[in-house]
Amino acid sequence: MFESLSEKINETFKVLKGKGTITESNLEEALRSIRIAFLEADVALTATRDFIERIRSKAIGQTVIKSVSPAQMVVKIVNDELIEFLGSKNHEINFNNRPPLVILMAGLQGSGKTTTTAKLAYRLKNKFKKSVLVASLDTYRPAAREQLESLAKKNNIDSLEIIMSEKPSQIVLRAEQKAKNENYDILILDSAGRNHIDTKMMNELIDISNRISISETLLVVDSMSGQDAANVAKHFSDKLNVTGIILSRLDGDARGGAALSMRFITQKPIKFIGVGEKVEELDEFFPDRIASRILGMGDVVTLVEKAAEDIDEEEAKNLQKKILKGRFSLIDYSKQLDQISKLGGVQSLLKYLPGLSNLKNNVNESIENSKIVEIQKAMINSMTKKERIFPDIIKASRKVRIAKGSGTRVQDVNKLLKQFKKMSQMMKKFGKNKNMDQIMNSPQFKNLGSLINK
Amino acid sequence: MVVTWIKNLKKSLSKSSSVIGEGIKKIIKSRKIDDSTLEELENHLISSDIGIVFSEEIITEIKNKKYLDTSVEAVKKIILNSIIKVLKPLEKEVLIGKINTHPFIILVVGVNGVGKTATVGKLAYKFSSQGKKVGIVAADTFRAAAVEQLEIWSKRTNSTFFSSKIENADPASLSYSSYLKAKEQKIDILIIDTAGRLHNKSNLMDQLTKIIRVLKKINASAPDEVILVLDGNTGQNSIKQASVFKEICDINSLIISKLDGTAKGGAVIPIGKTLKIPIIGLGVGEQKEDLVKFEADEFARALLDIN
Ligand SMILES: Nc1nc2c(ncn2[C@@H]2O[C@H](COP(=O)(O)OP(=O)(O)OP(=O)(O)O)[C@@H](O)[C@H]2O)c(=O)[nH]1
Ligand SMILES: [Mg+2]
Repeated sequence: MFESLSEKINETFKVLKGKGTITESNLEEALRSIRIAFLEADVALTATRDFIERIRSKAIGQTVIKSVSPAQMVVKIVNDELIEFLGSKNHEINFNNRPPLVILMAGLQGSGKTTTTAKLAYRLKNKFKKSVLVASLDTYRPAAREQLESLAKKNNIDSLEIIMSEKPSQIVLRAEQKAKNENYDILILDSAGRNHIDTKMMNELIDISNRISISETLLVVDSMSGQDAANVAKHFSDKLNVTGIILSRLDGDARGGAALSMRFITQKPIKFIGVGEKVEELDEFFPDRIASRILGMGDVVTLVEKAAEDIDEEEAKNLQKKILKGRFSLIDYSKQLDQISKLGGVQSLLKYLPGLSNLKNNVNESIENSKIVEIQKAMINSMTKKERIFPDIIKASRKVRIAKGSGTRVQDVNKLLKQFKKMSQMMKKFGKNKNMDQIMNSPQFKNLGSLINK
Repeated sequence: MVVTWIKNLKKSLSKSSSVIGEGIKKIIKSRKIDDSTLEELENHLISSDIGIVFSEEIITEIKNKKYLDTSVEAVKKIILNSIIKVLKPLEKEVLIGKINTHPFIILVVGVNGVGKTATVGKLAYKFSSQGKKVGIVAADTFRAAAVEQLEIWSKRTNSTFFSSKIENADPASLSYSSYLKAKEQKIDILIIDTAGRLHNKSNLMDQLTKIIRVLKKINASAPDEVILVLDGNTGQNSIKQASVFKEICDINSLIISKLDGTAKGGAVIPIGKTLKIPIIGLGVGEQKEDLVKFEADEFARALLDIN
C-alpha cells in the first residue's frame, strides 16, 4: 500500500521535472499526491482539505529553484508549512498560576492517560524540581487507581491514598485539599477514559473542572488515531478548556496524522509526545519530525533543501565579490531583489548580518512588498544593458521610455532609481566594513537558505 | 440472542454511521454523478478509515458501471455490495462446542490500550454464561496493576483466575503452568491476557512467540485461537498491526473494540481484503456484555445507514 503511494508520487515527479515555476496545472498533480499522503497518514479529511487549500494559494507562482522539479518544490513548501502549523513554542506546563497548579488529563479509553500522568509527574519533579501529587479519578476501570498508585510508588512520586468508596467529585476535593495543606507545587489528576459522545461522562469532567480551579487540561491522544480524531478533539475542546495536547505512542510506526487533525481542530499546542512505556519516555514535541512522518517524503525535502543551499551559497558569494569591489549595478540590484523576496525581505536579511542592525532603518520597508519587487524588475527589464550598468545616464527621455516599456509611470522609475542609490550607498558601507569577510563567511550568512519560504 | 446482538450493534453503530450515510445522501442528492461528486463520495469513504486504496476501488467500480442508476439508494447499494463482498467471508464464530482439546486455549494479543483485558473479560463472560468452565491467565506481568485489573474481571465473570505471585514474572512460564493447572481442574476454556506491545518492537514480539512455543510443548496444536484486538479508533496503522501480528504469531481472529464511539472502524475492510483474517466480535462498550457478533451484512448496512 505504501509502496504504491510513493510510486505514484515518483510518477508525478517524473512528469513535472524541469519546469520553471509552479503553475496551476503542475500544482494540481502535486497536490493530489500530497492529499493521498495526508489521508494515508490519518490526517482527518477536513484538516487535509483545509491544508491543501493553504498550500495552493501559497505555492502558485513561486519560482522553482534550479535542479528540482515543481512537484518537489511543492513538497518542500508543504513540509515547511506543516512545521509552521504544527509548531509552537508553548511547550512547557504553564507555571504562572498560583500553586498548587492543577493539571487535568483527559482522553478516550486506552489513549495513555495514566502512563502519561506518571511521566509528566516524573518530568516536573526531576527536571523542574517541583513537588508533585498525582491522583486518579478513575473509579470505573478495574484497578485503574491501583495502576497509578503503583506507577507513582515505583518512581517516588506521591499519590493520593485510595478510598474505594469515593466518587470522582469527592476525590477531586480531597486531592486539592491535600495539595494545598501539604504545599505541593503541582497536582495532576488522571481521569477515567471516556467517549466524547458519552454525555454523562463528559458532564462529569465539566463538573470536576467547575469544582476546583484547573490551570491546564491536557488531551491525551493516541498517535495511531484515525480519521475520527477530529471528532474527538472537537467534542473535548468544546466541552473543556483544553490547553494542550499530548501525543502518545509515537514510538510506534503510525504516521501520526492525528497530530495535525488535533492541532487543526483545537488550535492548541502539542506539548509533549510519548515515546515509550518507561516513565522517562516523554519528550518535547518537535514539529519537523512529525511533519516528515506525516508527509513521508523526507528525501524530497532534503533534496530541495540541499539545492536551495547550493544556490544561496553561490549567489551569496557572487554578491560578496561585487560588494567588496565596490561595484554595484542595477543588474545586481535586480538579482538582489530576487534574493530578497526569496529570503523574506531586507529586514530579515539584515537581521542575519550581525553588527549591521543600525542599517536597518535605512531600508525602505516597502521593498518587501512583492508587488513592488515585480514592478521594479519589470522596469529594469525595460532598460538597455548600458543603462543597467551605468544608471546615471538615465535622464528624462530614457525614463519615459522605460516607464512605457514596463507599463509604469515616470514616478515609479524615479522611485526605483532612488531605491537603487540607497542600496548602493548601503553596499559601500558594507564594503568599507573591515569585518565584511568575516560576516560573509559567518554561518548565519551561509545559512540564508534556511530563510527560504519563511 | 443473536438478534439482540445485531440490534445492539446497529444501535451503537448508528450514531456514527448516520453521519457517513447522511454525508453520502447529501452529496448525491440533486446532482448528477460527475467526477467531483465521485471525488466527494470518495472522501466520505476515506473518512471512515476505509483507506484510500479501497475507496478508490469502490469509486472506480461505480465509474465503470454502464447503466448507472444515480439515485442515492442505488449508489449506496453499489458501495454496500462491495463492502459485503469483502467482509462476508470474514464472519466467524468461536466454535468451542465442537472442539475437544480441553482446555480450549485462547491467546489475546494487541498493542497497548486497545482493550485486550476488557475483551478477555467479555469473552469469559460469554463462555461462562454458556455454561462453560472458564479460566483466565494474567500473563500481562509488566503493566502496573494489570493483574489486579484482570482479577476483578475474573470475579465479574465467575472464572478461575491464574496469576503469578512474583512481580514481573515470565509470561511464558506462567502460561505454561496455568495450562497444566487448567488441564487438572478440567477447565473448558482458558483465556490468556497478554501485555500490550507495539508491533514494531521485536524484543516484545519475541515474548509472544515464546508463549506460543511453550504452550505447544503441552499440545502441539495449542493455542486454538490467537485473537488480535484492534482499536476501532485506530486509523491506517491497524493494517500494519494486523499484518505484523499475523506474521509473528499466526493470528486467526480479530476483535475490533470501541465501536461505541464515533469511530467507524472502516479499517476492517482493507484488513479483510488484504489479510483475510476472520472477525469474531466487535466491542461496543466497557461492560461484560458489550461484545457483539460480527455480521458482515449488518456491519456494512450499519456503516452506510441502510436498513
Ligand atoms: N468504550 C469502550 N471502551 C472499551 C472497549 N473495550 C475496552 N474499553 C476500555 O478501554 C480501556 C483500555 O482497555 P484495557 O482492556 O485495559 O486495554 P488493554 O489492551 O488490556 O490495555 P493494556 O493492557 O494497558 O495494553 C479501558 O478503559 C476499557 O474499559 C469498548 O469496546 N468500548
Ligand atoms: Mg491489559
